[in-house]
Amino acid sequence: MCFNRFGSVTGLRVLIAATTALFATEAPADSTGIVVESVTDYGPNDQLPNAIPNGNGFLTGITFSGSRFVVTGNWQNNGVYDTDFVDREVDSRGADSSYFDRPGVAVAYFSGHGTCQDGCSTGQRCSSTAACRTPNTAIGERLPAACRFSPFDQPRCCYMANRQAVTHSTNNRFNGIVNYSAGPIRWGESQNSGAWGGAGSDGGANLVVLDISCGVLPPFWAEAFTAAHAGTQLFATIMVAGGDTASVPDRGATFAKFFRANQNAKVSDSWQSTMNSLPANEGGACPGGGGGHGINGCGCNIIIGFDNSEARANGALEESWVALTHDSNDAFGSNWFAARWTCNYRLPAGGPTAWVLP
Amino acid sequence: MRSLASSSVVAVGLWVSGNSIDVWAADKAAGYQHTFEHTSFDVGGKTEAERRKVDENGFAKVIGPRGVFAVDLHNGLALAVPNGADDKSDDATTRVAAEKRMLDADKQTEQVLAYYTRAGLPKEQIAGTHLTTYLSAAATKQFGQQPVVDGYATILERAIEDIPVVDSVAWATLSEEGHVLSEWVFWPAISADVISDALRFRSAIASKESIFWIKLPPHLKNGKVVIRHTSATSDEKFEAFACYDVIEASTSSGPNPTSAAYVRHFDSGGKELRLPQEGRAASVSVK
Repeated sequence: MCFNRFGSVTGLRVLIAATTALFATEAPADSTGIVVESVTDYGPNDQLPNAIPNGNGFLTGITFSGSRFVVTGNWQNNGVYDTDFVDREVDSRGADSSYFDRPGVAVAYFSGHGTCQDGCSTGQRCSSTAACRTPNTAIGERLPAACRFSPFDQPRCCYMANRQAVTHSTNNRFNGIVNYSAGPIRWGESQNSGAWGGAGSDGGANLVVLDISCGVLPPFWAEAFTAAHAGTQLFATIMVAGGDTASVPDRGATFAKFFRANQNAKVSDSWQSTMNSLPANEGGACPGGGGGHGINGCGCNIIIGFDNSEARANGALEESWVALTHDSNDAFGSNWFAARWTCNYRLPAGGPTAWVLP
Repeated sequence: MRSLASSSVVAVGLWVSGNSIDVWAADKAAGYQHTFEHTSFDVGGKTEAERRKVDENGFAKVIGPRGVFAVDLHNGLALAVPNGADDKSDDATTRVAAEKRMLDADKQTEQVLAYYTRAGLPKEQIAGTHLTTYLSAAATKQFGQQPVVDGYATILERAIEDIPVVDSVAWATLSEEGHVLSEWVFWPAISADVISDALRFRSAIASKESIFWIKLPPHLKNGKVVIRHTSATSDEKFEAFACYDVIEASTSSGPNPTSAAYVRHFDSGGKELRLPQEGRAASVSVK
């Protein structure tokens, strides 16, 4: 045992602890805010009774006493404006940098309606994607195309169609439509990511969760979010293969539970595993087996990362909840994407074609 | 009638239609508590110092360099959660390859069943299994990248006397070598009263003349009797009850049609119920 200049071994231990704290290996958290926007009431005969409990479940599940996350805002029903999601630099009526995409926000979670235009309106049967060249442009369908099938559907031509969330407020300025595939939406543009997204750098959401119907339709998982992506590290939503997202009270709380159990868990794993953990009867069957788990039919929890390199795009899907709070992980571009998903039915191993005939 | 110690349930019931008295008795259905001693999940580390046991955030946790095994101190939910990585790097070579999931789905299901029943999960309560599928894709920003199947999760279905216990969930993903990569187990005990109620309810609505069908909205007649209980993620006091669950699905009209699908719950008198998790509240922000 030695005595140091503090006069005791205990003092040496204190010095070591203080020095270690000074040169701590974890980077400081830049963004720890949680924004939740939930809509249950869409007017007479259009209610999503579980949307608000679902949003509340995520909020309370992730901002418990001692959590690294804090409440930034929890808006509901008429308090959820479509302008909350719109980028002011793209459309001056927007206010997302004050709400959904506020700087300092780690997770921005929307729980409510989405629209399900599937891009398959021509009904053209196909045996290959090459045969699909005639989108119904009058209703917004466009290339690229896919000869898409599912347990519900025989192969038919489907084209890219805008993906949209929906709000219901007397303060809406865009008819309640949040068109994140082609509208004035830009999320995540921060001081760290830079202004490459054409929307300045006054945003900040690191993870955007759209807990809605038809957040993505296969195989357009990259196309759905390319326009909205301006620096966000991750997008998480529901991909419907056939049927619809079920409105459940527990998806958000379950997602948060993985963080609460292990703050070093992968965010992507947490979203994917959320599907497994929801009751199987929360949603109808998928023909041929499976279904439920928060989907009324056949669908998947999907999470997508974009960045300017393969390593960084894949890195987004490896990030822990702790890393999510570091704005150094904000995306520098969208040349590359990486996606992972968990589907509520069995798909065969080894086969490349899950939804599309090439 | 078998003893309670055998972790099984026997229901004995007499149902006489009309105004007669029904006599229904059931043993409770044992739950199953998954623990660190049961799991094959490797939190990592070889010494006690590398594995910390701590009560944190409402969980009793064993924390190691590879992940955490956690048991919820409120309700016994047990989960094994592997670690993710730190910050992004442009150097892909620094990324540690994740352990691969088993790709033989049937083999995994067989092993998951053996794993949990060997640990003590009541075999007679497992009504079946099903799978979810993990997939991934990565590419430059171009259309056409085909996904790859990365593995499966095997999910156990709980039923007591053929009545589904919906909110009890147990699932696991295994590595190619057969040990747990991640898991979630919530399998609480269900009281005899609840089981009796469910059996009685199911018998009552077997007749199309049952007053239940008269009270139920006509478009909701393709549901079934289930046992529901407080969910694994709810902080509310545990409760369980028998109810009729049915999916309500609708689509709105207009230029941007939306659709809704959610589960509704009714008691034997046709009164609609709400689950504890469906009443979650939080402070609301005002603009």
